[in-house]
Amino acid sequence: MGTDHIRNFSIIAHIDHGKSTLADRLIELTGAVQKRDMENQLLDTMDLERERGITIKEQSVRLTYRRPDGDSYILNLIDTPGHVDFNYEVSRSLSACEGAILIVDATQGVQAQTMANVYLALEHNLEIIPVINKIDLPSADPERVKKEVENLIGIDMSDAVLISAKTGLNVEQVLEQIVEKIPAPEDHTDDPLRCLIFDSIFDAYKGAIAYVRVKDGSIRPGMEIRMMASGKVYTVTEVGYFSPYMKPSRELACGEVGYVAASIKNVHDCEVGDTITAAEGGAVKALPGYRKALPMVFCGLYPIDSKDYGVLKDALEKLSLNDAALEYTPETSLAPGFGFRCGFLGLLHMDVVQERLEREYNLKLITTAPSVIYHVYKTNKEMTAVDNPAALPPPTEIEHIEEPVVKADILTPSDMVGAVMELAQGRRGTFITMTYLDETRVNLEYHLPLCEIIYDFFDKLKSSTKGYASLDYQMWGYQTTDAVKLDILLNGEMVDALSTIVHRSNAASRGRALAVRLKDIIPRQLFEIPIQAAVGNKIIARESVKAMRKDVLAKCYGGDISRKRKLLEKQKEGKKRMKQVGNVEIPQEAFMAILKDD
Amino acid sequence: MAVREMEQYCAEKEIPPLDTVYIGGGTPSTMGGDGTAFLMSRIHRLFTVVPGAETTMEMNPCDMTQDFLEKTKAAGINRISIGIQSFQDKILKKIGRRHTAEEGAQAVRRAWRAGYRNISIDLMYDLPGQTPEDFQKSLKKAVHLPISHLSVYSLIIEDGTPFGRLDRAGRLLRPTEGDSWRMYQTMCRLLPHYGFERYEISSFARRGFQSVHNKKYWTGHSWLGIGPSAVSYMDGQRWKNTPSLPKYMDCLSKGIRPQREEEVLGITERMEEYCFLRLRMTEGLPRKEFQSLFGQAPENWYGQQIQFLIKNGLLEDKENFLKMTPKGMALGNFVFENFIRTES
Repeated sequence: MGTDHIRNFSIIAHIDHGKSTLADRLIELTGAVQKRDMENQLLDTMDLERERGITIKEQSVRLTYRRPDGDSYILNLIDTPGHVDFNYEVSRSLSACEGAILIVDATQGVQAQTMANVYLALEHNLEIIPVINKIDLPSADPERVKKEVENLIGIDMSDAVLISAKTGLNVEQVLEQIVEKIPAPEDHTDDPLRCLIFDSIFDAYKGAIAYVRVKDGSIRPGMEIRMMASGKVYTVTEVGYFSPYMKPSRELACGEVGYVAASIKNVHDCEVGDTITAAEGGAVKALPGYRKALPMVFCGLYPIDSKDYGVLKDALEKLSLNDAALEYTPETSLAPGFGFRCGFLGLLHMDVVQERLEREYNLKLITTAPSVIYHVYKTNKEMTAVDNPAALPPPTEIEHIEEPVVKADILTPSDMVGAVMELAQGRRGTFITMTYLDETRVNLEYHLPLCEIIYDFFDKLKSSTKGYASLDYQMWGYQTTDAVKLDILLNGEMVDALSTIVHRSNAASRGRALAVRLKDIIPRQLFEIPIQAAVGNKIIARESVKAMRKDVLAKCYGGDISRKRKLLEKQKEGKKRMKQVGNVEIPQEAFMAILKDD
Repeated sequence: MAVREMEQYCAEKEIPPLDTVYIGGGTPSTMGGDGTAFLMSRIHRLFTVVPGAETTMEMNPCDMTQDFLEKTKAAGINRISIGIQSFQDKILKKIGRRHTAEEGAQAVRRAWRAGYRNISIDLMYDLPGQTPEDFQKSLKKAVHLPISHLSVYSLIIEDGTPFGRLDRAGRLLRPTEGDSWRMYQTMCRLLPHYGFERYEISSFARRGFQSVHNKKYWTGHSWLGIGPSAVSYMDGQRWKNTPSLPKYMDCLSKGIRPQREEEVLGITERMEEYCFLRLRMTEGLPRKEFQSLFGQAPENWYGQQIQFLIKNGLLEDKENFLKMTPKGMALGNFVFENFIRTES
């Protein structure tokens, strides 16, 4: 059948610029789903995705578009996760496409993620179709936005489609442009099979299912296939496409997008970016761009109730079936006890996993402070990667430490440049360049330590720019740093779950802030509890929780007895949930205190 | 309707003679002198009331006219409990009381003149905006009035109440921990100095004027509660009437019990309650009574806890009584929690 009537594309946009809404309209217009079956934002299938307005797992849908002249086209829309944590996944999705729709909000203009995504799309030589959305809003200023895009990204905006994805205005023009402008996939039907895996999910019956774009050849059930990175061989049990639900078909031909099931045990065996080829007579060279999904941020997850350890273990096991980037290893600490050290792609990924554990598995968790991976060069010339403060070697064995640094793009209104620069300098940023988008907006480029970003940089950026600035970043490299371990001692005993690795210049202020917060969180007990923050043997901050003198004293007559006993039971229950370190009882919130800064 | 409920009980079972009567909960004084007389006559007709039984009525200062006081006296009320709360107008206003400080004091004097010799008042501390000095003034004012008993307790703010909402919004100016502690200490020092001995966490009385009725709650005696929301306790069973007045009336007119919740207390619960109620009293927990009620010495059930509490100076062992030390009294809830065994 050839590939001329196939178009593969993605939609790229900053969060909230209308990506999912446009996707819904396209699906509706082409009749892939009946209007009455439409759920808003069809492609974001997890509740969490819909609530937060973000896409975490990639989704695809195959649309059949009949042009006014009668020709039918197959349009494959590959939805991409809209967050920097998932940059690698985005890049794989983009390599499955020939074109991308760039959505820019007519009221907000270009944002940091817009730029990052456009650059990514250009890197993959995608044809970009600019679309300006939300033109129905009174504050829409499409002309200004067009100019901004031209100035900043250098895309010709004369043909940009002005739409309202919400009302459906001009959306059919987008379909026309997809067909007109995006090139058809190259036809390599006769070459040995090569499919790019751009995502995978786990299905309880079919095993791990690869989402693929067939680059060369074609794939059918019964074929013996080989994963080129892992070398593992499987027999295809089913192929099909997304309508948007999985629909089996006889084959996936060259240029098509669909899924492949082959009784693969878990998603770790069909990694995003890997190439599927035929087990025999397959391709020699894999498709470019594969790398292992590597976690960048680590933290400890502990069940509040230690009885839930088994549930947490099962839950992590199940989630990781479907999430190749999630890593976990058992970890024990003095308090809060038994848990797991988990690795994530970034803060959002961490947040999402945590929330799913709490929601879908009904777990109550303690999260320790997130950490990046430090490269610790020891005096014996060995290098160890440390993602857990507890594993940091003693200072005498350390020659020097390197920390991960990112290249960050911060887009901000020009009158707030001062505030942003101050913040970035305060977070040990190195200024690279500054570009004016127009008179009112500026892009600042910085090298920033990743640990600063995962601490509170984003929140601080939002608050110091009244929410106007946006941030995007990618790994840049490792850089020498003066990192130290900050410990917390309660009543003289170190609480390992409260330790963090911080830059020496931050140690005093973080230590003080943490001690003050702990003082408010730890309830008074029968004796005074000293709280100390220490670096090595040096105490850098000191607070204390005064001894409890008085406990609520209410009257208690006949009608109060029942309530009183319930109150006492609850009080006792609360104590039981506290973690005991030495003879100090620590509530769960104490372990969270470290995550926040005032 | 309360009379109907009493009739119901009497028809159902043999009620032992009453040695105390307590008319309280809400503001029963609004039923007036004649209403009180009627209620008392019915109580006497339906139950056997021991001669000289302590018969208390809760009163609101605003209702305490001379006429009312005379009529209630004549009806057989021999002890009154007045919800004064404070002798400071700014605070009374803040907590939504209708009476002024002066009206409160006048009400006490009027009761005395009407012949009442057992007068109790309620006072509160830890009130929003209250300073230790404010509270001290209230206490001093109180001890110079012709009263024989004081109930003093701190404001407990609960979620869902107007105060709870204000507090959540951070709009309640609550006393600091230090001020709250000073108020508590003032209470502990000042009242005994004027002859009011503390006999329970929040109760103070001149010699011979401890509330016989209230002590029943703390010593595990039975009582019968009449009216909506009223709680009763008999033979290890506790039940509570529906709080809804329409439902209450409806049940009674149909001849059913207006009961809503019932708890049957097992041995463990009874023991727990016995401990945390008995310990409220300065007299403490009599080992012998415990042993006879629960078959074993308290140490057999609570060995570790008692040891821990004694070691930390919260509990003391004196002449066959386990009692809280002054430090333990201040940390009452902390001490009581140690006597809870059941899982909630």
